[in-house]
Amino acid sequence: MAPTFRQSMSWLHTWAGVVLGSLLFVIFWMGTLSVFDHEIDRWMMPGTRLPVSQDISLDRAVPTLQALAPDARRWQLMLPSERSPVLRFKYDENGGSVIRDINPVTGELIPDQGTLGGTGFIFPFHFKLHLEWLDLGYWLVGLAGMSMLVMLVSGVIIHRKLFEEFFTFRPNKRLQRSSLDLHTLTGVLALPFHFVITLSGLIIFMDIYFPLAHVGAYSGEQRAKSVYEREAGGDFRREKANAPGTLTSLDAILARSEQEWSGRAPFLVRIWNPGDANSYIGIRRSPDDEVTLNIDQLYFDAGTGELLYRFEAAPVKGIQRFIAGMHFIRFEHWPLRWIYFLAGLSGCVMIATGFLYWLETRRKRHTKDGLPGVRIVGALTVGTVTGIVIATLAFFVGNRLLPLNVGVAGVERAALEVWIFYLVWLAGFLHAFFRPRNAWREQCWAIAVLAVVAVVLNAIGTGDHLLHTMMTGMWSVAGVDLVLLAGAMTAILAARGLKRRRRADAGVHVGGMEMENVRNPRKSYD
Amino acid sequence: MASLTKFLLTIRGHLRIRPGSFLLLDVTDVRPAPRQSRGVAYTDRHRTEAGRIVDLLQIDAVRVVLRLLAAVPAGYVLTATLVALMGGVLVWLGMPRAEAVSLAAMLGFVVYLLVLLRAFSLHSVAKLWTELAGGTVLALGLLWFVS
Repeated sequence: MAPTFRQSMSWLHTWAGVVLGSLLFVIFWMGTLSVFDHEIDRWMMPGTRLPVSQDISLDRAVPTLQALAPDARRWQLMLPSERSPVLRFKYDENGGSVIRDINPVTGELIPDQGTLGGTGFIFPFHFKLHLEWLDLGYWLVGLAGMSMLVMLVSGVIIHRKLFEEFFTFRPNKRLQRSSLDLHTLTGVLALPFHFVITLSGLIIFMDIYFPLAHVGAYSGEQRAKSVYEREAGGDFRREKANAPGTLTSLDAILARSEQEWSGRAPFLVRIWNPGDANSYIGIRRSPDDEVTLNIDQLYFDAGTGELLYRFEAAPVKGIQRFIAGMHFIRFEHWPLRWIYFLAGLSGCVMIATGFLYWLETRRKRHTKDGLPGVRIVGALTVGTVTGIVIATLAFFVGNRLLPLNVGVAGVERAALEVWIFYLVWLAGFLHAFFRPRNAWREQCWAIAVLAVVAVVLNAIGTGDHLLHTMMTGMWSVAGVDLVLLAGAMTAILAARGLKRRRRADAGVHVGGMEMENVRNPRKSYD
Repeated sequence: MASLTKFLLTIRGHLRIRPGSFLLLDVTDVRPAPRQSRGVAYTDRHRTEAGRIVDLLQIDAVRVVLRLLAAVPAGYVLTATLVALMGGVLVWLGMPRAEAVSLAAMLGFVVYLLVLLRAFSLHSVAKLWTELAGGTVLALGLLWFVS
């Protein structure tokens, strides 16, 4: 393309970043939050803040299931864990699926918390953007993922002095310099994480991204796709008998499964055609105790409890599940979970500073030539970076402000929260476009205010204030509160820093950020 | 391909799109190269009807779009074909079917990454399209042969 390979890669790095950077930032931000999706669930669903109990029983919950979904094709029960102390019951109703939380000790239904929370909104946002049409969300995320790989490789290529720049950060230099430093620093420091997290994210959905991968290996096979899926991922099916049947003790089935797996625990129970004579139960093994996100399965006859089918992944599929497990981090490991969170944030910083560098290198030229690029990309950057943080915080604040059973014009509470998220995000973009000079600073203040308000509302509305949650070891709620406060602190520091810099610089103020230095700001501190 | 480029350049002339502008942003990040670079004669210059010499290497909207179409969708088609082919070959080498598909699909992302990088480093868009089309036809032929 360009005369030298490095120049080509530089062009590619720049333009893939500008065009897809916003999408990537959104995916990184939601992915970073998804590391703590269950903790966010606890924060957003106060009714589920239960102590972890060993004395759980599925059999005690069966009457609740029968009352809720007597005619469902399938019941799905996710067993409680350290991070999620409730029994999550999922079933199909009117073409959609419903999730209700059940107290695993008493078997009683927990009142509907009216929110999608971390697992229902933030986590799916990360991989499908809530764009269901034609799986568009998956494909956009896939495109962004591939572009991320391309940018990582091209980024390494265009850096001549990779190791030198590894240790370089000059925060007091011109913004152009310091944003590039920070871009390189976060990019290089967490490079292995970025590469592995992106590639593994793509590999998780390889059957979506390469839907015809089987045609060579399964040539001549009837219904090759489903045969491949069954051979790779395991599957058991049995038709309905259309005669009444019984349901054996689910607790006994769980005990039996643990025995079959030599003491390793089950975590997911699915019952097909409950109440039918041909009903059967599928059990999945817990991913808590190893990196691999296993797909081990056991199937039992729902009436007699007889073992019908067992499945374990073959070696290559096992590698794929290991790679998926590295990405999902479903296993119990708190230090690693925090490292994932911080590495995810460093990815967000890398993308944001990449935008800043692009803006600062072009600001003068675009102003001179009358090009709107910096203005547009500037607003896009602010709306993406601080905008989505504000929208997320508004989602949290809305969650604490809306009464439990509220609905407006037929829109349910959970959907109202989502509306708040999108409307506030849109407002963030508009604000960034119409107030380019002050956008960063004002949005930083909005972040600080909303984060503190969220913490206060949680304390007032639920009584679980920080002192209480930390004393009683309710670390999921305390953790969310503490991260919110840390975020508020960071935002305040950023806003004050932006103001100080503006005072220090008698710069050219056109479009986007207000920091076109003409002299060394360090002098102004003397 | 050269005539197509010429045709599109003419359209661009009529639409009065600034050379080097792409979606209102300016894309002239890559400076016009010296005429000789790395010992390769630099021939990507083109005389328009108006007699103005347009430096085609200076990246413009038409070539960016042609390259993007080559890299992203056409590159994907080539990759997907190679993945299916790899699955078939691995089965032929004795691997269980589902395992072969899993391995091929996982490697597919690395293949696509390499295809994308090549698509954005090759000098000539025409050569890029030739390589992609040739590669896809070859892979399809082999796939048909394997299965």
